[in-house]
Amino acid sequence: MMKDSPYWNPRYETLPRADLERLQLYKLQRLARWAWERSPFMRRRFEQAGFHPDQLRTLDDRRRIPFLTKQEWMDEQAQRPLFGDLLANAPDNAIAYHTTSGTSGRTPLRVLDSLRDWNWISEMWAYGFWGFGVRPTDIVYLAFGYGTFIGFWGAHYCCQKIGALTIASGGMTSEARVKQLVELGATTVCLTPTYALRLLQVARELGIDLARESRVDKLVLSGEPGANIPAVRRLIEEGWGARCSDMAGMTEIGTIMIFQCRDSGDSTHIIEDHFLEEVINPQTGEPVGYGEVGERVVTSFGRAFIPLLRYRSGDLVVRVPHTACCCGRTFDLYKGGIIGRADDMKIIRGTNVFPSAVEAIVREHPEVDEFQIVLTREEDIRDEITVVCELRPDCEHLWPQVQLRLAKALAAGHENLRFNVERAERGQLPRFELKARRLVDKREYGR
Amino acid sequence: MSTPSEPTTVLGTPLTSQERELLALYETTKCLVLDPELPPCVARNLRVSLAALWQVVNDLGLAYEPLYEYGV
Repeated sequence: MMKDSPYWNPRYETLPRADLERLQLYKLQRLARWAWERSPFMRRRFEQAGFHPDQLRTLDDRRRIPFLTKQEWMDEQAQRPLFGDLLANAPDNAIAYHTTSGTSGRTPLRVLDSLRDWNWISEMWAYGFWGFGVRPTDIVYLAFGYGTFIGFWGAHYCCQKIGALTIASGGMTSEARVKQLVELGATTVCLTPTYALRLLQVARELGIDLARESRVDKLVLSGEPGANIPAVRRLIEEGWGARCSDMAGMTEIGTIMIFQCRDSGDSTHIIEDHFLEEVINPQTGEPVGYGEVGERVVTSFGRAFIPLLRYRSGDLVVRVPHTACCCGRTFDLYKGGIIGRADDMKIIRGTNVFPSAVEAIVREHPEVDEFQIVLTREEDIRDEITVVCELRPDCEHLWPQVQLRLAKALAAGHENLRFNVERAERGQLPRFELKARRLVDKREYGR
Repeated sequence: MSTPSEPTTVLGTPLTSQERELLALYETTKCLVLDPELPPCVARNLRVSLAALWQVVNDLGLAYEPLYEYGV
């Protein structure tokens, strides 16, 4: 028998804030020391910045640690293949190799993990899964292709750790997955928001109503924005007849660092006994306060093979105090989860455009089945933004009204910026299993 | 009141008897995995156990260390 609890780790999920900060300082001091002693890359960077681990006497002293950027990591990896001088553990101790998804088109980051790291990675997912209500009686379906992209590997082992029945669907078609998850009575499905929508389309084509014919009541969504976009979330929850939890992570830390519990509404708890999260102004590097948009900077206390201190994630977030949620956790939250990427923002004729904000508006139009954002440069000077839409088969006759409504809504949401709204033929736009790539910036090719 | 020699969590709270047992189990496993004479089935399974026990003591704040020297 096991004591039930709404928390995976009751002691630390409800620790008073002052004690939580003492714990973070304790861990930060030791992590910085290990990085200094074991990772030549980290030591070089610390020395260049005039930082020594002995300088960490208070949590505020963390600001003496230099920021680490993805570019620095990639440069180091390129100069000293395969992993650069980052490793703090002997390569012989590695049991897992994985990479970033490479959505930016650049060489992916390569990462190694040890047994201990791998266990910790699944542990972080367990904070999220347990907090969302997954229990040993659940049947969890993991709808992704596995491979070297870390994706939901940690979630897979988390479910086995929890004691749930785990179904790995790597290498299967979408049609086969829909049939299998219904047949086996899956109660929880773990996938990207884009793929949750895709499986709904496939189920419809198969004549299967997932809300009525499956036992799924929980969806764990990760890998990209979506679960935090109200219109997308509504489409997914209604289509599946299930509740969603947004759990966001990154390959650089190997796991998730935030999750939605049963009570946190649109916000995600930060797992603060295992991460030190800061929010900064991306231009100045100075901290921003509660309620302000900024870039999240992460220090991971768990992964030891590659110590990660003050890593600039590029994720835009709004931090709010733990009291914003009634669940009893003392972990602060990010309101709306990851609300965008600092490097995703496009400037079109002087107006800031975030793909996630465009998606939020498009998904308010249920007639649209799939879409793509295309940026072009006309006459070498004028940037144009076009949203290309594929309609649901039963809505094609509504195109004139949809086109007009969508163009108006997009302009209203972007300081009256003019959006072109065009129609694509059925099946013309790409579908995605992992991270969607719905933005095509043709301006770069014309330069 | 805790005496100076009394074992505590990383935040200074005295350990319960259950926590003492968990910490002792972890320390014993650390010692055992360093034995070079262990057969593969023992050596590797002990390392798996040590990785799991590390997670237990880390989650409970009983210890926080990297284990670089233990092959995990």
